[in-house]
Amino acid sequence: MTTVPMTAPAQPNAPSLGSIVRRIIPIFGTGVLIFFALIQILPFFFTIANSFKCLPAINASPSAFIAVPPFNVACVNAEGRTLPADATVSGATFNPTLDGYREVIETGSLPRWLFNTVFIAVTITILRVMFDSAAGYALARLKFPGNRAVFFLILGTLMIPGIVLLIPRFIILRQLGMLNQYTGVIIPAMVDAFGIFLMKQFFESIPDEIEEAAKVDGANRFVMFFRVVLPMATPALTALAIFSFQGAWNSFLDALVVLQGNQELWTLPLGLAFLRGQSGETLRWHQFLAGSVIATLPIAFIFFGFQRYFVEGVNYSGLAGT
Amino acid sequence: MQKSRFFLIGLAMLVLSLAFTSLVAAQDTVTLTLAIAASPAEADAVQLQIDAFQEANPGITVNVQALPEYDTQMQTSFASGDYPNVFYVGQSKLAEYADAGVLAPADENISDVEGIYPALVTTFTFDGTLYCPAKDFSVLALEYNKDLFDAAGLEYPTADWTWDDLSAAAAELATDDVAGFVINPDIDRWFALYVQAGGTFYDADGNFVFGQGDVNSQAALDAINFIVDLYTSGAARSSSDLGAGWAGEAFGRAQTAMTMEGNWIIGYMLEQFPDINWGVTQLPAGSAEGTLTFTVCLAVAADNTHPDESWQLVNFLTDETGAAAVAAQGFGPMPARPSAGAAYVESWAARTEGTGVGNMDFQAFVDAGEVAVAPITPPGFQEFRAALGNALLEAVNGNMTAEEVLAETIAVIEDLS
Amino acid sequence: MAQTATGQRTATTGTQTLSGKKFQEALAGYTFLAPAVIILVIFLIIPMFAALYFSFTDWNGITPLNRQDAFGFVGLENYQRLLLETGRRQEVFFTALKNTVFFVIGVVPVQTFLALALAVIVNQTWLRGKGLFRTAFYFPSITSSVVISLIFMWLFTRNGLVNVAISAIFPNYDPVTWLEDPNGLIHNFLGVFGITGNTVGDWAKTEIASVSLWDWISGPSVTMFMIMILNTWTTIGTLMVIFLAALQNIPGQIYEAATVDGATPWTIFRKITVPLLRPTTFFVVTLGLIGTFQVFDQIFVISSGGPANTTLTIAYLVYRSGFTDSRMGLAAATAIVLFVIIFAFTLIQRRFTGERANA
Repeated sequence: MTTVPMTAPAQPNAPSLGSIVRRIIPIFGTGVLIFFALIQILPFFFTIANSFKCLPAINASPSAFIAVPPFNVACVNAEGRTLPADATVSGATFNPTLDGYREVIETGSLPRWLFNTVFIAVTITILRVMFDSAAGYALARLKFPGNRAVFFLILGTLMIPGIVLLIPRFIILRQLGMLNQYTGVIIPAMVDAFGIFLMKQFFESIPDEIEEAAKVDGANRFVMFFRVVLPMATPALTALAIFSFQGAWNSFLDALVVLQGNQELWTLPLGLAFLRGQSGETLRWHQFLAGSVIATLPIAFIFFGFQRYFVEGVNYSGLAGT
Repeated sequence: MQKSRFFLIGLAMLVLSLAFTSLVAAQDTVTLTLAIAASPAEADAVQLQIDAFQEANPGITVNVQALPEYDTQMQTSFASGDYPNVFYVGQSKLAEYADAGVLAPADENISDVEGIYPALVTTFTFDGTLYCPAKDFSVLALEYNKDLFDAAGLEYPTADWTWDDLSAAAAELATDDVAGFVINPDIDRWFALYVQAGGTFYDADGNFVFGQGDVNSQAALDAINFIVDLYTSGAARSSSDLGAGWAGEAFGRAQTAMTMEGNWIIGYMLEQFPDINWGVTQLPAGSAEGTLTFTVCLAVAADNTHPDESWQLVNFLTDETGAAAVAAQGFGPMPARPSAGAAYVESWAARTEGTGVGNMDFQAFVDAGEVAVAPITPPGFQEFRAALGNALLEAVNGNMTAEEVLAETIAVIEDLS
Repeated sequence: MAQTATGQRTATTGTQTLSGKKFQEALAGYTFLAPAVIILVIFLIIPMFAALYFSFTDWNGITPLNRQDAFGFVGLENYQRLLLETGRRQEVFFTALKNTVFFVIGVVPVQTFLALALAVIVNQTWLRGKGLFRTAFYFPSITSSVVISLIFMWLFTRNGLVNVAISAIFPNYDPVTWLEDPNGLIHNFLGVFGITGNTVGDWAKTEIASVSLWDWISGPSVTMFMIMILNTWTTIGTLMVIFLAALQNIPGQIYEAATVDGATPWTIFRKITVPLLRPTTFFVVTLGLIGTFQVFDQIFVISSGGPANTTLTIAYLVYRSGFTDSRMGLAAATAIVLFVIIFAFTLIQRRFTGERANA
C-alpha cells in the first residue's frame, strides 16, 4: 500500500474558506467542462443545422442556426429553378428543408448501406471482444516461450502505414476468394493489434493476488479467464467494444478495396465517398452533410447507451481485508 | 443397397448434365466488367446507355462498377492481374497505364478515329500508339460577370481578346472587394498561360520538353511574368484570398468579374448560384491561342478474355451515337466529336432559359476544343508538378523571380529523368 | 492441495506435475493466442514482408504481378535515393520527416495530458450529468476522419464559421487563410524579432539532406498546425475513454483510505492515481506515437501534402509515391523506413516509462 503523507486534519472551528472553495470548485469546474464540451460539440451542431438547409443557403450563410417557419420548404420554385440563397436564409435564421436527406436517401442505396455497416460493425465487435481479450490475457499472464516476441510482433503490425499493405492484402484476399463479400471485410478485421494491446495492459493492471487465490482453489487457466478475470474487466471490455464498433463503422480504405465490385455490399463511408463523387469542389453540401449526420448519429447513441457501464466500477470484494 | 447405388449414380449424372448444359449456356453470354469513376447522377446516365447496349447486343451482359476512389482501386486491381475489361483512363494516367502494359492498343478497333478532336487523339497516344477514344472532355474558358461589366461600362470579352485586353479590363474592374480576374497559382491553370505563350509539353519524339529550348523557356518566362504582373497590379487575386474554396465559388459569389474555369462550372453555377448573369468566351491569346483540356477515355484491358466484345462496348459508347448521347446528357463535359458540338449547345437551351447565362455562350467551350492541349506529365513526375506549383506560389508572393522558377523546375526535371 | 504437500513428493510425481503445469500453461497460451496470431499473420505480417520485398524492386505498382517481368530487382537503390543521395527524392523525404516529427512532438504530449485531465475531471463524484459530458467529449472521435476533415475544411475557409466568429469578437481581425498558409510557426515567431530567411545569414543556407538549415527549424506551418489541432481534437475523446476505463479499475477504497488519512486531491492524484495509471499512460503514449507518426487521413482529405509540401507527412508520401507517382518500390522503402523509426521510438519510450505497474 503506498504511504500517504500525513497532514493535519482540518480544524472544525476554522473559517469556512475551505468549504467555500470546496463549493466553488464544482461550479467552476462544471463551467470549464461545459466550455470544453461546447468546443467538442459545436461543429456538429452546425453540421446538423446546415444539413437542413437548401444548398445555396449553405454556401451563402453557414452560420445561420435558428430554424424558423415555414418548415420543410422546397428548394426550387414553381418552375423547378433553384431558389437563390436569400429566399431561405436571413441573418441567423433559416427555413429548414428535408431536401438534403431526401436526396441522399434516393440517390444511393442508403438503407442498404446502413444495414451493411451495422451488420459488419456488430460482427466485428463481437469477434474482436472475444479474440482480443483472449490474446491480451495470454500475453499478460501466461508464461510460455515466445511471449515477448509475439507481443512485439503484434505491436509491430501497427507500425507500418496501411497504404503500402493495400495491394498485397488485396491479392491475398483474392487468392482466398474473399473479395466482394462480407467475409473479406470481417475476417481480416476480426482481430486487431490495438485491441490486443489494450486488453493486455488492463489484464496486467489486475493484481496477481486474485488469480493466485483462484489458482489455490484449483482453477485452471481457462476457468480463471472466463469465470474470474473476464467479469472484472468490464470497463476495458466496454472500451474495446466501443472502439471496435466505431473503427469498423468508419473503416474506409480496407472496405473500399475489398468491396469494389459489388455496390450492394457497400458500407456508409464508401457510400458517402460515392456521393461526394469526383466532384471535388462542386460538392453538394446539403447531401453530404445529411449523409454525414446519418452516418454519425447511430454511433453517438450507442456510445451514450454503453458508456454508463464505466460507472459500475470493479468490485474488489475478493480483496476485502487486504 | 443396389437400388440406392443406382439412385446415387443417376443423381450424379443428372447433376453433371445440368452443370454441363449450364456451362454451355453460359458460353453464349459474355459478361464484361466496366469500371467508371462517376458521381451518382452520371452513373445513372451510364447505366441507361448500358441498358441500350445490352438490348442491342443480347449476348453480352455488362456489369458496371462505380468506384468512389477510382485511381487507387483500379491500381489494386491492375496489380493483382484481375481487372475490368473496359475502364476509364484519365489523361494523366494514360502514360503510366500504357507503360505498365495494362492497356490494349487500339490498332484498327476504334470506329471513325478521324471524327474525334485531334487534340484528344494525341492525348491518348503514348509512344506512337493510340490506345483509346476519348469519351468526353472539358476545356478551360473565360467566364465573365455581365453585371459587373455593365456597371463599369466595359464591353464584354470576345474570342479575339489578347493578354493585354485581359489585363486592361481586369485592372479597371478590380476594386477592394471584387477582383478583376481570379486565377490561382495552380499549375492546372497556369499551364494554359504557358500554352498561350507558345509553349509545348512534348516534342515530335515524345520527349518531355517543358521549359527547355529557346521557345519553351521564353514561353515559360512570359507566362510566369504575366501571372505575377496580374497579381502585383492588383488586377488578379486568388480564390482563397477572397474567402472562396475555389475560383468558381468566388465567381458565383460575384467576388470577381472574370475567371478561368472549365465546363464543370456550368452545372455548379446553375445549381448553386442561379441568379448570376454570366457569359463565356474563349480564353485570350498570348502569342498563340490555346487552352487546357481535361479528358477521359474508355480503354480496353490488355489481359482480356473478351477483347472483341470489349471494343464493341467502347465503340458503342464513343462513336457518333455515343457522342450524341453525351451531348444530350448535360453533365458539363462535352462530346469528344465535333459533330455533336451543336447538339451539346442545344441541350442546354431549356435549362438555361430564364437564367443569367444563355445557352449560346457554351459555344465558346465547343470552339475551344480546336486549340486545346492536355497538360500531362510523364509517369513518376509528381515531384515536378509539386515543385512547379510551389515555385509559382513563391513567384506570385514575390519571393522568386521567373528565372529562378524556371531554373528550379528544370533542375527537378533533370533529377527525375 | 497445498503446494507444500506436493513439493515433498518431488522425486517422482513432482517434476511431472511441474512440467505438466508449464505445459498446460503454454498450451493455454497458444490456444488463446492462436486465432489472433493466425489472422494477423495472414493479413498483416505477410503483406508487411511483401512490402519489404517490393522495397528492393523498381515496381511501379501497376504492372500485374503475375507477369514474368513485372519489375526488376534494384537492391538498396530505393533506400539510397531516399536517405543518402542528394537530390529531389531525398529533399522530399526529409521534408516529410521534419513535418512528421514536428507533428508528433506537438500532438502526443498535448493529447495525453488533456485526455488524462478530462478523464479525471469527468470521473469526479461531484459532477452531474457525467454521461452527457462523456458523450460530448467523445463526439469528435466518433465520425470517420474523412467526414470530420471535410467539415473542418468547411469551418476554416476564409469566410467560414471560425473566421466569422473571431471577427465578431475582434473587429479588426484580418482573416487568416488557415488551411493554405505555408509559413512555419517558428519562422513567424522569429519574424517578430526581425529574424527572417533573408536576415539570418548564409550559414542557414547549408543543406543537410537536401534541406536547408533554415528550413529545418521552420516549425509546423500554419496549415499543419491546424491539422494538428484537428487531430488532437478528434483523438482526445478516444484517449479519455481509455483513461476512464483505467480510472474505474482503481478501487474506490484506495481513495477513501487516502482521504481519511488527510490527503489533498492533488496529492492523491500525484501519488496514487498517476502511478496506478502507468501501464495505461504507456499505452496511450505508445498509441499516440504510432498514430501521429502515421497521420494520413486528414492530409489526404484537406491538403494533399500542400501548401508547399508543408503538410507532407511520411505516410502521405508513401501514398503519393505508390499511387500517384507510380513508384511503388520507393513507396515501400519509405514505409519500411517509417516502420523502423516508429519501432525505435517505441522501444525508447518503453525504457523510459517501464511496462508493469506493481500494485
